[in-house]
Amino acid sequence: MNLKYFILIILFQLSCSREQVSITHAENFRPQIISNKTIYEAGETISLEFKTNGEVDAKILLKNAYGSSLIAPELNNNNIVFKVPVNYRKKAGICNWVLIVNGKSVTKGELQILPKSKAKPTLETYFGPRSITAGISDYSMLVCVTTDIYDNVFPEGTDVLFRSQFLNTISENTITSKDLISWKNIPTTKKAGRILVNTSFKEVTSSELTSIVFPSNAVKFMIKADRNHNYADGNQIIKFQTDVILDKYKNIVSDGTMVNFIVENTHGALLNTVAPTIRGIASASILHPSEKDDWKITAYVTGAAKSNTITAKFKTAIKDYEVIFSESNRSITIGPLTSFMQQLIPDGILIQLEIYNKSGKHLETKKVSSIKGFGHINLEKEYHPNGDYHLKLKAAGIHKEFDLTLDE
Amino acid sequence: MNKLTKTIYRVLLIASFLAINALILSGISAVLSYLNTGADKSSMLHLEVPMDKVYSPKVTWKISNNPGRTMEKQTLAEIEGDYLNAWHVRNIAFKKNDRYGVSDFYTDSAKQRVFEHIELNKKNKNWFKSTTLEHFPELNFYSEDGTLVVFTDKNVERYQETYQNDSLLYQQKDTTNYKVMMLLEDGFWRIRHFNQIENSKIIKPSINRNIKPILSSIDKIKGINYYPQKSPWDTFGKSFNDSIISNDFNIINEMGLNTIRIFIQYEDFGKANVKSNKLEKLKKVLDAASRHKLKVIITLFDFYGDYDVTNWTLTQRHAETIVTAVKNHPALLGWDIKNEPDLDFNSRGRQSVLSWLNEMNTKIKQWDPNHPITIGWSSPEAAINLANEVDYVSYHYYREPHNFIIAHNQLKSVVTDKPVVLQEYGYSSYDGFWNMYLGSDKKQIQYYTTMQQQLVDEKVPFVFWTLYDFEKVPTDVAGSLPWRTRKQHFFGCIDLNGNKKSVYEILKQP
Repeated sequence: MNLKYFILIILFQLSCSREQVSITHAENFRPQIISNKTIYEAGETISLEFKTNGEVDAKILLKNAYGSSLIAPELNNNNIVFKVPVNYRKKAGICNWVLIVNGKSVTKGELQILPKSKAKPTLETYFGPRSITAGISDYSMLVCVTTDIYDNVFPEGTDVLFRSQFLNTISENTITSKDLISWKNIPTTKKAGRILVNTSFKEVTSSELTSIVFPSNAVKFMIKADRNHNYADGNQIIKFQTDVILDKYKNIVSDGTMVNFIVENTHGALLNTVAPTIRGIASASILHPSEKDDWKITAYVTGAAKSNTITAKFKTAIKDYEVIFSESNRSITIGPLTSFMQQLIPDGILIQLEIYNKSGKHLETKKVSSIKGFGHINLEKEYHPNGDYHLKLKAAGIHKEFDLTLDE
Repeated sequence: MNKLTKTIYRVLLIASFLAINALILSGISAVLSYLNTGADKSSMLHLEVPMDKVYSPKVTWKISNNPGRTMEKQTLAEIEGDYLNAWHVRNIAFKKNDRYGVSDFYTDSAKQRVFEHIELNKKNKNWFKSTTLEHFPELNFYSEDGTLVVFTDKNVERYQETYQNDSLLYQQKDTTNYKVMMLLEDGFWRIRHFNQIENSKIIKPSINRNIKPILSSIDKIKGINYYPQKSPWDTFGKSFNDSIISNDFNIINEMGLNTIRIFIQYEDFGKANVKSNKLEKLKKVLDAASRHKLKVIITLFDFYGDYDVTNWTLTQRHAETIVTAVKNHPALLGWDIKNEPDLDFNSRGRQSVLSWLNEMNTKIKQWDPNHPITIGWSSPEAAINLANEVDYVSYHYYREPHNFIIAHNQLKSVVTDKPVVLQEYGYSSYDGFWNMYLGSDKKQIQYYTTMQQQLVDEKVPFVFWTLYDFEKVPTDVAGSLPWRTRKQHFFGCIDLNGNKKSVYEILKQP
């Protein structure tokens, strides 16, 4: 900050004076460019020749979009020639040059390099999105870039042929390039299927590209139910099935569309089962209830469509059962549980026993499943000491109540 | 004799036994500790490494003319980020002639072109330092599937230094238009086609500068370089206290001065991302100055010494944020771009420093057209640099007071049409071992008497160094050598105990 750097000042002055010398030298000398051609085709040999009066320390600074390079000259009689390197020659666009003599620019210019039109061009084609929905508003976009053999984009106004096919229709359009690209929206169709496209430019044709038109959203559909019998045995399965689900253009919805079947029972509880569609049809199953019930079933394709509502009634399968108390009332046997043909009910019917003391206070709920038509419940001494109890038993929708004295 | 040999053997045996055991133990523990090391647990998570801002030229998008898919804000930010990264990796690639990073931001066919340039330049032993300062991209097309974008990058302001072997050969600033096509590949937006196109007529809006009223007041500057006593070179640090500053401004008022010069440290303010709390503190200082009717010269880029082209965009964002934040403050007098930049000529190259200053000068004029700009050169001789570019010329003078007026007039004879300010001068009253007991309060009085007389006679606007003697001077200021730093502590007109030194009365303005 406060220090006086005499040495620095001296150095600075020295550097100033040195530079001034070179300026005067450069100013005295202005080489003239000999070649006046400024437009080239990519790949063509380019050399820049300048008239000089003998040897000079000259360099040319080239610059194109990708970078810059410094090139040393070759001598040709009294002139200096700069050969433009291949990476500058094959890049179309503007190439700037600056002639530098003794560190100062003395003359500058610009070359325009055009894409090579003679050789076989190449096509870059970009297509997307590749999956669209049937209808009227969706579309895929086809973008095409035409380039020469050196990967230079052909100038604005290049015509490219776009073709697209769907079923029996083939359409052709000529699109003029702008901002490096030619592009076209390929609209969707009302019928699901595949749209094939390609592009061609001069004698080159791109490969085939595909966009898949998927069916649109499902619309209102019908369902039906199917079952072996209508008894509430808690064992058989009821099957729900949709008819063929369609979108609004009569396309079958895509395989795997999830259908949600919602069952509402008499208690207002909702049961739920889900199935994906195959060829438009979804089928799902659910277990019969174990007591008398009325079901209302509606199916949904979430966010898109709803079915009609159907009903299913279930009759009681178990009409009544016996309850036997033994071992001083501490062992309770429920059963035999028999179904509509007096057959023993299949295992797994829920039996629920609620135990109250004599003043009506709820003490415990015991749950067991039936095995081979019977259920067993034990009231242990440790938990239920001697005294008076009130029991509520529930199985297959049948309620029974008992007053009980335990004294052993 | 025999007994002695025996003892020696014994000692040797026991010693070697212990040594071998120690070796074995340390070997086993080395193996165990090696086996216990492993990858850092956090490395299991592929967390994105937060990247410092490395390249941030100013980018102004125009997206209204896009016939394709509507551009999302988020995507535009990603495109901009990767496009600037593409410029950055290419700048670095041409600086080092190394392919590192190019593949991330150029598609296969585009990167071949960059590689060919690198190989050619490597062969010719030339390399480039370049940066772009401003971009005005205009969106031409964004594809429906969101993977292809075409835009025209207009008026790309680029600065480039060309080096041959190790020496700077040529510098150039140009403005170019590019047509760019980028593709989204592997989560990167990569350059597919990059074309330089015809430059449209570049019409730069001319800046209406209104600095005459302030410039005419510069001849009346009677000022002081200001740091708080307890936090010299750290005005906006942790010990910032605006009541202390307000008190100091009272003293400055009492002395009859009308201007202060303050310093903003580049790193302290957060480099490219200027910290908002620092700006708040700066505004508080300006508010206090405004209350005391003091004008403020803000010196930017203190403790910044890297003028490398690679970092130009970062320094510009730094300055832009600060300048635009306070440019309308009534206390602001003007901008001093850099303190004593000529001291960096040797280490950083004169041309690099001057180019940086010149560019910064142009930009600050754009951001704040209504305040004059200067550079605080370390000597009247150095002040000739960029004298045509700045609005008024500032220099520092710490040499023999008797030779002052000669040096000043010499500068005045070159700079005839602009105000010239003596922006720093002063004398240390340090009297101790490190200056052979040669300084003293008396010498400081003599110095200022001589200087002030000349300044009054020649009507030179002045800003002297400084208000306080300082207890602590950071090593960044004058190094750590005591014979250099000691005298830095005693340039003030109020001593360490808060008593007015004798020079106070001399510096007090009538």
